[in-house]
Amino acid sequence: MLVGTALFAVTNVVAYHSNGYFERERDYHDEVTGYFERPHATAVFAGDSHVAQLDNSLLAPDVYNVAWGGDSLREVYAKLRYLVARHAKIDTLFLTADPHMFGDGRMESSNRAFVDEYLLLSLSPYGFEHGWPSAALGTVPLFNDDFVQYLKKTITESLKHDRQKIRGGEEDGEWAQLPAAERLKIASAAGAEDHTGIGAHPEPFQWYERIAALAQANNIHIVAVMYPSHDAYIDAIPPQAESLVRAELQRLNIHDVLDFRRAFADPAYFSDPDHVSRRGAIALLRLMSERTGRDLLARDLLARQ
Amino acid sequence: MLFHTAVFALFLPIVLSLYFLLGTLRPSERALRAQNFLLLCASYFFYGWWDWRFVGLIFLSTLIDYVVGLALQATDEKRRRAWILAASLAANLGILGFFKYYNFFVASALQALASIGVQAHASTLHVILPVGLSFYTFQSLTYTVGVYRRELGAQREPIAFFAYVSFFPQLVAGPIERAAHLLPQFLKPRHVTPAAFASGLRQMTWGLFCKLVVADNCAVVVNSIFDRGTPVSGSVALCGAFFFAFQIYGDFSGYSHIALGTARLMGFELMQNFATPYFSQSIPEFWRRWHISLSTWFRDFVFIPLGGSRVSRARYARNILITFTVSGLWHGANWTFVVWGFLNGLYYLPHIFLGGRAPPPQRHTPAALVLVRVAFTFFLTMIAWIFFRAKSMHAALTMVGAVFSRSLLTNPLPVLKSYGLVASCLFAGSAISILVGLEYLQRDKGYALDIAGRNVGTRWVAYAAMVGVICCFRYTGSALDFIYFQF
Repeated sequence: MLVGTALFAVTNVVAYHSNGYFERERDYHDEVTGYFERPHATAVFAGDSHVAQLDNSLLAPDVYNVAWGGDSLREVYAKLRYLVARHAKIDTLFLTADPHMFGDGRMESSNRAFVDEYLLLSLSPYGFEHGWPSAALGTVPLFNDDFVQYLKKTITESLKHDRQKIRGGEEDGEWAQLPAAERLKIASAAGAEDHTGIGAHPEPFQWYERIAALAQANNIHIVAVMYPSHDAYIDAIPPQAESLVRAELQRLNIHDVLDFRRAFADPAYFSDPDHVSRRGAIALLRLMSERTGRDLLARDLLARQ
Repeated sequence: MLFHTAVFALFLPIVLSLYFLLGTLRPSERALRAQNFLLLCASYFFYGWWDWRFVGLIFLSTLIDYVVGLALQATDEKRRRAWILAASLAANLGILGFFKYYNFFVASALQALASIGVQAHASTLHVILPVGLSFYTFQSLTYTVGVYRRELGAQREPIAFFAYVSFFPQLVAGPIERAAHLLPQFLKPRHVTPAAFASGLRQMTWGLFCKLVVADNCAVVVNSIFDRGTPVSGSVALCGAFFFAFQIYGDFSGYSHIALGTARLMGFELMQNFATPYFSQSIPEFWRRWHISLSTWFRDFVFIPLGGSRVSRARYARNILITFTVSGLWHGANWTFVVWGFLNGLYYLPHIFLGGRAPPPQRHTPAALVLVRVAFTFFLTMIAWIFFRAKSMHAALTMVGAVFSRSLLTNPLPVLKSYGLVASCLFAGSAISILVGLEYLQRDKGYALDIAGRNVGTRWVAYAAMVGVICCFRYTGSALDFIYFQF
């Protein structure tokens, strides 16, 4: 029995240190805990890949970004809860209010297992799909369902001699080089796909409410931000979906809403229809700084104005 | 709570720890009472985890049979005893009938009337089917009928009796234990040897493999084919039937293995419920190896009272058809289950009318002939499983029709690819290969991982491999319920 247990433990350790899934998990955690390496950070950005484009290297010392590609509002809540539980001195939360965060595509996140630890450590009453015992068990690599899914996917893709394309992985500049008609077509299709099911599920609204309640309980001011996209991507949002999101922000008394969706027309500011490029991120941070009266951009970048 | 969830992984060690702690009490009768009381509380907690409202029902059902048992014991008058038994049957089957079949019969009656032009209206009720109702009702009936037949005495000790009916390892999906077999185990001290404990863990591990790796991976393919809502070709339908055959086998035998293993950890021996049924060479043999506890229940409480096989061939056939049809109805309140049962009864008829004998022992039969018989028997059960799994009679008949059409000869691969099922078929197929291979190698054992007699190196390699396969190749979507929980 002891030998078996030891063997099981060793296998878990080997899996944890050798597999790409757990490497990704470690990067994810590093991004969150990196907040504590900026002792003066009092403003935090949170959201998905749209927000993650505002890389921490672009930000002022008192600003930090915990956003990560694929995060849903559940992950945003978990991170905020974890930071607050560890006595983070946050006074402002730049929270994504992009409508697609309330749709089908954000019902489940591929990062869901990464934040179970945050919810467990902060004794969250919410967020465990199969209960906290299952989440606790999932911290053991071989009992982690998402790791097993990743493993099976890796096996099937290696058999198909396929390489998984990373979404939005285009190099800066490639998007701008496409013909306008092509960009329009891609943006339209992406917009239609990303904005299905908004309002069909209560869960994203529940998570937004929980984030707002958590912020209010900790005197954190929320600034809701909608990030730049191609016009055709935005035009694909159903009008009732737009109204639903706005109404929700009103209901939660979030009145500070920065809508930058149509802020940029220049394709050089984008790496794809709904993600800003590095150039676009810098320009966006400058705009946000002007609107909020708070320096969000790193000093050396400010100096290059 | 499900056996393969983290909650059960927490629940079981706590129960076991308390169980063994209470086992140290002296005298041993005190330890036994304490352990039985713990099992009763744990079982009600386990059952209440599904829905606390179910607890009242199992308590009521158990109380009725406890009182009936004492009443039967208290009188020798034949007529009075018959009435008392009838009361138990009426109460138990009435509860089962109401919760399970009320809406089905009302809806079917309305449909039948509508078909002859009579428009009638009746209310159907929002009735939740309590988990395990069919199982514990039948188990409880073996007690009252056993007391009636004077095969066992009435149980006066209420804790032991209530614990017997609600025993959590087999409460929700069997095996359906006979009172004469299980109840005495609550009445004498239970000693768990290290070998028995290890055997229990092995059998649980094997059960988890059957459920998490075989059944749940097959379910991905099956659900996609059966729930598509559009007609499929014969070859795709047969693929669906093939994977369902292993889904239901992995699911149900997996549950049974976990139940047996869990019970053995506490010193209980439950009856074997499956004996490698897909190696059967005939339908009668299949039914001696599949869901043995239910088959024998229907044999002893329906088939034999009808006259059994010691009658004319016509009556024998009648008794078989009635028994299998009722068995089908037991499985679910839907005509598809009834037809499934009836079809299995029909499969029996050639053996009755053609005077079919059991095939000779395998060592005298050419391997090729054995293979043909096994394949043919498996094919027949697969066709019947289509009715079991399909959502409606129309869907079932459409699929069966496709199997027996020219579309059976079409290549299913492009369609499976378009459904995104190739990887799933690969995983499920690999799991099935492991299952069949190991079960064949260990066909004389109660379960495939029963390797206590092998050397320590072989055992540990096998354990490591099995745990590794479960951890790395289990299905990881939302936890799929065991199929038989709906019965």
